[in-house]
Amino acid sequence: MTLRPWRLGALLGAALLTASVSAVDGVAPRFYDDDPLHEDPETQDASGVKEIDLSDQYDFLENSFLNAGEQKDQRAVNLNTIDHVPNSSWYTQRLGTAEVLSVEDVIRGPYRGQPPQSGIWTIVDAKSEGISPGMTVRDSTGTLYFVKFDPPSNPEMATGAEVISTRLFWALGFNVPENYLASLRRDDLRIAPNTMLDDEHGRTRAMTEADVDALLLKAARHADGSYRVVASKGITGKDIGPFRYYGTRPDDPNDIHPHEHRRELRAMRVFGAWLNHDDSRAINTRDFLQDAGPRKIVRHYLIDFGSTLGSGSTRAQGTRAGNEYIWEARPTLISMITLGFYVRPWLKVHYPDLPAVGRFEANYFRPERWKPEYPNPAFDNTGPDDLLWGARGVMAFSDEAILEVSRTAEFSDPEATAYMAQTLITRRDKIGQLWLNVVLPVDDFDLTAEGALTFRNIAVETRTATAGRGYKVAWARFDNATGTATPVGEPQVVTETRATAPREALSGDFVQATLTGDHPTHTGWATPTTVVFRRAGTGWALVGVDR
Amino acid sequence: MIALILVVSAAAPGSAQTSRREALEVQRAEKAKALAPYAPGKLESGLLWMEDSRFTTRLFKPYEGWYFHFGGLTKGGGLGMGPGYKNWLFGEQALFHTWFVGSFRNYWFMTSELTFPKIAGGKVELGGHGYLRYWPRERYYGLGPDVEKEASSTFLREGWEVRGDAAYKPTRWFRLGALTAFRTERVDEGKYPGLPPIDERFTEATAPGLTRQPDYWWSGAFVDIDYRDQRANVKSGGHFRVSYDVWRDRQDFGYSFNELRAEALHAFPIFDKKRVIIARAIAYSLDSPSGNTVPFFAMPTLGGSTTLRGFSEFRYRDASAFLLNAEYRWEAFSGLDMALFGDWGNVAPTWDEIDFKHLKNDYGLGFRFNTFRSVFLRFDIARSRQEGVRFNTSFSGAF
Repeated sequence: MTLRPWRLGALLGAALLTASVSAVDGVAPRFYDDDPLHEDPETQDASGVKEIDLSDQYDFLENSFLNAGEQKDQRAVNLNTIDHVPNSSWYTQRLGTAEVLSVEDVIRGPYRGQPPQSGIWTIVDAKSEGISPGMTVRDSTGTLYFVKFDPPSNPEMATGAEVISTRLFWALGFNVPENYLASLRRDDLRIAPNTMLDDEHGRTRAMTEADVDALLLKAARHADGSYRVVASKGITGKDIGPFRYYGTRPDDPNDIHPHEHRRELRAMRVFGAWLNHDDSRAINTRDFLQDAGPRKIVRHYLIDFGSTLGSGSTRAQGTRAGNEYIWEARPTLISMITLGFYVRPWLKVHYPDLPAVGRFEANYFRPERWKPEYPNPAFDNTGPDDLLWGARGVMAFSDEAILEVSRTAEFSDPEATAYMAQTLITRRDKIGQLWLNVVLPVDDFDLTAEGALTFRNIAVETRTATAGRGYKVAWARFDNATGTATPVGEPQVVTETRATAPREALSGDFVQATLTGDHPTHTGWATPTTVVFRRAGTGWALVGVDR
Repeated sequence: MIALILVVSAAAPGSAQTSRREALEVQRAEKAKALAPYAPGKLESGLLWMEDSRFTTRLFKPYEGWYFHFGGLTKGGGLGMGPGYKNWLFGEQALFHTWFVGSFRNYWFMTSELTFPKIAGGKVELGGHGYLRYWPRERYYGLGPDVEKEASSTFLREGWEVRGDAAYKPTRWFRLGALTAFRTERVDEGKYPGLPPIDERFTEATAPGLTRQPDYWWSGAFVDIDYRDQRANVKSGGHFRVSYDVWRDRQDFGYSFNELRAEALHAFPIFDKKRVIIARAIAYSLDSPSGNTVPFFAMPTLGGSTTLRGFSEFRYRDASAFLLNAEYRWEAFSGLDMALFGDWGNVAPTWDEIDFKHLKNDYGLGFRFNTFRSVFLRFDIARSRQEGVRFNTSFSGAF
């Protein structure tokens, strides 16, 4: 082949670019000695943060019409080099760690304290405005809880959704409050002196016994006169307001990763789809300034799961929830033009008559179609690797775990428990079948000193995909200083989840393997996954995974 | 070029770090040098202030004190706006409420009332009310179903009323009540631009009560069953009301009459209330004792944004009237409902004379911007054979 002048120029340019990248990486190596990090070093003192407030209306406008956040086709930025999320003030890997190894661990969940103790509960704050009233109480031991109720139309629904979602979001790695199921009677409630109430008329005034009665009128009352509640234990530290799903908090020195590019927030799209957390927006988040040794750091919480699963907090979940944003131009226009004779397909979905469950189903559910109330910048930046990561978390819950978590809702109707569990299982499997296969679903790579590579195919193991035709493994020596990979030998084709590195590939300090899969239906398997191992003693340690 | 790239790379941030941890710590240390509290923009600040201060509630619907009153004028009177004041009295057992509204059409209305809404745990309600009104641009086309649009004229209607009422509410959806009142009426030359005064086109014979208007003692009773889900944006449920009022002419001018009014509305939701079929029927029958006539200004009218939407306000008027509205409403999105509607109605001197075979009718398309609880802006485009296409704008629902 002869080179034409323009082609020669292009090659020269490419060489220069490669040289420049190499030069950059030559100063900052691709992998540091401490890679992969498992803990994000949030070492700055954040005690100077100020409390912020959030306009619910602005949040809607901004996310619906003002292009909030950065829309960018890039990997999540808070990953370590092996495609995992290091533990941080946002996220703690629990599944598969000592913290969550068994079903019992999931059931134990975030609960470290005790549920509110029976006896007199003293109301110290209340909210009667809006459609979701609640009150802050001190139980008989003086512990603070925020108490919410079930709507009269759906006893056990909102409280059940709270405790199920609390456990699952916690196990998935998020910080959540300790939301306990409890029971109270009208006679248990006392109003603390000087307790103020924000009423529906815009007044802040002293709370009265009549206000308590009025508030309880909006709650489901059991035949024995008791009220089932979810009591959310007060979170330690100073409440400094919600976090947004984009940008960073400008007064928190540890908050350096734009939220829309955080893996765990992007993957909340997956978790939100599973649990129908349509209210996954800033208003249902909370930051707390907490002690961290000699420093203070901001820890980020998801709160209020009353609008998850089949619950819409004060009524059964609306049919639109999870299916369409509050505002979407296309279906709106179609509906207008067709004079309403176009019926959105989700309006025809059948829901069983289970008041404790509300509206939650798995037949119509398609993970890729699921939507929160309005656009979420983190969800909109979700990439295939984020979806895989999220789906892997969801698939980690066994049928047994899901059933036991469903039982924690303590539904009176066994059919409700069984339906809840089965719906979660079916939705889980749909998520696995779709999002585990958007890229090559391989992980847990290991390379022995002798060069035997093994890995796991998560989709095959979770039976969300068949084995496929096999894998192609391309080996290379990797130069960490320059970031360049030098191919070694011809790519290998294997049908099992193992391969053997050519001897020449193992001659350096780093070895790279690039895997692609071949599956008759899952084209995402053809997406290369590149793994890098670093020599560690007599063996090899995984140091890089790039999907 | 290579040299340039190398210079840039040498200056790249993070290049001096020897560990990932250090690289991240440096980024955080850099940020720590330039911390700033979150500063919301103007729009966000404004909305936040409105939410935190509960501005709209305090401005339009406070528990007590001064506020801004919207609406409250008669149909065709325009958008009423003005100050209002509420004050709870007697240990919050009684509410004094007064408001004044005026419109750019020069209508105004002022009312004061003292109500006791909490008697017997809210099951009994007593009230005393009074108002002054000034409606300068009322329209009159004559009586009966055959009047021509070209016969339009204008008149001024003003007067005042004091009223006492009582209601019994054993349940949330049932009310039984009675009232008695004194009302003055005065009709004068109207001020609708381009229309002749009523007395240029009509006489006492064609507009009973035109030459003199009596004061009235009137009293009545009603029964009301209301199980609508949202009264100002109904999606399901029904409302049924029957009232009977006796109006006595205090000066014996011969304008005493009795009024029977019956209304029925029901909403039939489908698809989770995203589609609603609503039907409403209203029947009026006013009759007068021997030697008396029902005055024209007290007669029911059809036409306008809440009755026959393809016709002008007050287009048809007589002592008896029948109205039927049917709407098919659908949700375009959660803030906008649209509607296909049809209206049918007619008037006649007596109920028996209403020609149900030849009802006036129109049809149209509506746009209703709403919250969950109420419609706050409505556009209805209606067409009738008699008047062609008409546009109706309102700040409340049709019914």
